[in-house]
Amino acid sequence: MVSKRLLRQIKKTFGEEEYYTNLPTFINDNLSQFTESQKENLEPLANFEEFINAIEQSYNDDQMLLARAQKNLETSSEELAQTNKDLFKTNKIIEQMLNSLDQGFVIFDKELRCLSLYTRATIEMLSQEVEGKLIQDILPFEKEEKKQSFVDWSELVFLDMHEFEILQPLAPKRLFDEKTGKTLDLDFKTVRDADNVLLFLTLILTDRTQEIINQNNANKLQEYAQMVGKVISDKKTTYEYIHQIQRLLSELKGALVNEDVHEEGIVTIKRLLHTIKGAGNTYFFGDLGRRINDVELKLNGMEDLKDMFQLVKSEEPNFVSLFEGYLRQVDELAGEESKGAALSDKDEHFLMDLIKKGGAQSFSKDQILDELYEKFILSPVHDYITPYQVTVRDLAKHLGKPIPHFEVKGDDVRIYHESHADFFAELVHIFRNIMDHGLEFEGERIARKKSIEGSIITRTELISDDNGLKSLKLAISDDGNGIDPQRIKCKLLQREKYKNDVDKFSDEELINFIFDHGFSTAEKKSDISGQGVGLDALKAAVEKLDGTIKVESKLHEGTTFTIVFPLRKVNRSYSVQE
Amino acid sequence: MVDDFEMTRISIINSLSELGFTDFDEADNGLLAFEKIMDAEDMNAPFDLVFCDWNMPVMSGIDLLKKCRQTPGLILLPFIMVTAEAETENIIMALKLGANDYIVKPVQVEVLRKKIDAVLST
Repeated sequence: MVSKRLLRQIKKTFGEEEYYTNLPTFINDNLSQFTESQKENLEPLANFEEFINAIEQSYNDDQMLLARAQKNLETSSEELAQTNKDLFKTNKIIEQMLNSLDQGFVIFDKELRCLSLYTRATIEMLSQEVEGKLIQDILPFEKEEKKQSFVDWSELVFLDMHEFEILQPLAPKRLFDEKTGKTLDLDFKTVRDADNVLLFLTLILTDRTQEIINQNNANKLQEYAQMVGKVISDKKTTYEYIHQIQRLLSELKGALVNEDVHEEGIVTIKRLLHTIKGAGNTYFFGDLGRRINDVELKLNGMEDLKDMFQLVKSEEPNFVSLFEGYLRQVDELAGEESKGAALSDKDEHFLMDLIKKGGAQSFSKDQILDELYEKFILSPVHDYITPYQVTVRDLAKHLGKPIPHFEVKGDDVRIYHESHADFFAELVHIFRNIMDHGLEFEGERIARKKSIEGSIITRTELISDDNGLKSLKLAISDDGNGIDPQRIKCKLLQREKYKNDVDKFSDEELINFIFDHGFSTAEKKSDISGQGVGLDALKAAVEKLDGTIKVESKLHEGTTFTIVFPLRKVNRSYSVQE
Repeated sequence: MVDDFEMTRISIINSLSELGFTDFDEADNGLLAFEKIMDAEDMNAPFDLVFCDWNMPVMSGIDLLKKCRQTPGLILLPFIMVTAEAETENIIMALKLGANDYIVKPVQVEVLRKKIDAVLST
């Protein structure tokens, strides 16, 4: 709390003009008078607030000194200077303020011009002189819009039409200086005169750089611990993820070969990036996810396709090397030998049993091959869906939403891993969308008289047509918000291609536009979904399987995604020794 | 309560009921709201407070605010903008144009109480 009282006192002490022009000089003059031993005796103060309180305290405690200073206001300026020197000589805290390099302040007026009342720490933090400059020019805003928004905000504050409490939350809170790598926290306080007229704003800057580094390190450590846990507890899934990311990275490399840049190519590249990020984050390959996120943010601000292409091309080796780093860690954790099909005790018993049966001639070779195939080459479809329970739980925590009930029901059909791995990896987008846009926050669910936790239920069903062709039907339902066809309509109205046909679409047709490329109805782009990439990637993967995807939804009641694809006749090309 | 999204209207009206308010009206766009505000003025039973969303069909929240601020008799009509969290720039613009305050979705009853008390007491 920078008190108005304190500043008023300073003002009274130093007079109208001098209080801000001379104060820093006085402080500096006095600093040199401290001996080294005196400096050592100074107690470090934890923060600026404590400092201000201490100053206030020292003023209040030393009324005599203050009275003397005030009396001296009427005497000659030479004497005034002397008194002020005395005043600050006793005020050891000033020394600490000036040496405290992680917190400082600067005061600016309604022209947004910085006064000469600031601390040395401020200059250190901003890496430049501040006096006389415009406040918006000395702060490291990332984008011109942010800077303009801050100027608008400051002007609004100086209009003084609203309580400052209303405006305070709209101020920028944290800035990252790309040039110096510093992270600065911003806090604004008003300075009013005795008649409550707003004179200045004080900006208190706190350097959080070290703190953030420590926090990031702690987060990374936690991330690493979680990854270790996952790798050890589920080697199979780990290697599936690795395979998936590996494949996507090579696909990305492929997409970057042809320098002849066109829009469709960029769309593919963006989609690949988004999927790699999703897979990386799901599996705690956080650095890879963050690196891609940074690139995505940059891409969003770019217009020229060639620039976008070059950015991704220059970043691609970094993705690969980050990924390879993880690969080494995982191999260390899981052990190289586990990469192959390590057999569990149960599997081994099954195999022994089968061999015995085979030896007894009760099975034909084909039957044995079928059994082997079923057991070791195909995997139950539920095994691909249940891991998303962890994803859902993590997302719920991240968003502050209740953790939904998660269930997988129905026929546990066995499917061929290689041909379906991509599809099941893209399925993440459905769960991300359900968590981000589908399931509501606790308050909204209560308001709608729904169960607090919500549910995500996946039903799998093996269906056969008249010709005996088998298909797998997957229906993923939630009891969330539903999709509002009106919102989709509004979005379509903004698109040249559809805007004249919007009224021809039924509600059901409208909501199925969510699978279109670049479609996102969320108002706020989140880091989970809503970049407009995702569901279209899933659709592409379904179509690769010759399948179909559709969505049905009842507003405020829930949404069901239904995916159907034919189960491929498997080409058994392996041979068995006679 | 002006919002094109019924759920937001219901949720704020529920919160208002919880705070003991009984007399309110709704509109799903700015133009309808403006008509209702004018009708209420004509019948000498003006609204005490308007809650207003940003994005709406027909007439947006900011246009309703501008229109009210240009209409004699409505210059001081208390306005609280209801916004999503990320809309800082919009909020600043609305406050500059004379909105009294803003409230962030999802609306919490305690915050609502504070904001209403503050706006109605000035």
